[in-house]
Amino acid sequence: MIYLFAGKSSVLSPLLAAYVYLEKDVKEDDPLLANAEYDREGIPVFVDFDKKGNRVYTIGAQNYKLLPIICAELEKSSSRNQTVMKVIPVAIRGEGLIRFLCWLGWKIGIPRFCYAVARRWLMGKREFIKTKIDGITG
Amino acid sequence: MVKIKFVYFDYGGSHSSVIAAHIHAGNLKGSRMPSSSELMELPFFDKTTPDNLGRLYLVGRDEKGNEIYILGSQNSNFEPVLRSLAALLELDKDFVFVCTMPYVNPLLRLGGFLSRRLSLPLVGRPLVILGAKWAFPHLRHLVEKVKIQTL
Repeated sequence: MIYLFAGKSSVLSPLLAAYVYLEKDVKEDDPLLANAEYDREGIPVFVDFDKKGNRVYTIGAQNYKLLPIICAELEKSSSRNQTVMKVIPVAIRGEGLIRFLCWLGWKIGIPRFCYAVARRWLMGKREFIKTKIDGITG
Repeated sequence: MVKIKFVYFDYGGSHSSVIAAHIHAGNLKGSRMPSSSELMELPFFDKTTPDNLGRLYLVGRDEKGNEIYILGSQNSNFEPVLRSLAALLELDKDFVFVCTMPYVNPLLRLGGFLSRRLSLPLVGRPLVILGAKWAFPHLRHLVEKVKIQTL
């Protein structure tokens, strides 16, 4: 099984959700978290393997809410009997602004400060993410 | 011989993708421009609802037996996402994704918005038909290009 956490950005709430799912300690100097260089629409980011050996990815897309449907449709049309991938949409209110801040920081050459602000904001949402994905990942 | 699934997609999955898919499936043959009634009679043309978004609909099969699908993606730059999903599912060799968004002209965009989003088909449809006729030669060219590339 592949777990794909989907949101508007691959390096914000989906990544935090993946870390929560993997029960990983999230550090404020995490190289991936809020890093705008890795935030490319449609390009999955490999996070790690879970305890059962399942691969865990994140992906960013504007229409992330449709991804579970599209994924199921692709599998259905290929006549597969079993589900290979589980897509979990994750989003936090205000994330668009934080994403813009990261992008701006990267573009104007002050990424460290902007990423730190974004990470601090994300850390505050950890419990919210925890309750949101609890039970979804099985 | 391995059969390919061609997926034509655009924002709403009801205009440019539908025309391109029907051209590929051979439902709009020849070089002549389809009439307004021919366009309106096409299955899925200007008929989709928000519930149809993200779902694959089989339009038909081409002369080689490949399946032709349409998809409304609600995203104008969705090709990388579709390719990534197919690659993760190890289905990238089975699918060819074709974005028809570059062929959506302002008339088609405005007509589609009025007809589908605002549920005003009486106002939107004439614009949609005009825009579809305008886009038709370009979409036919796109389908020919896709067919040649996947020979």
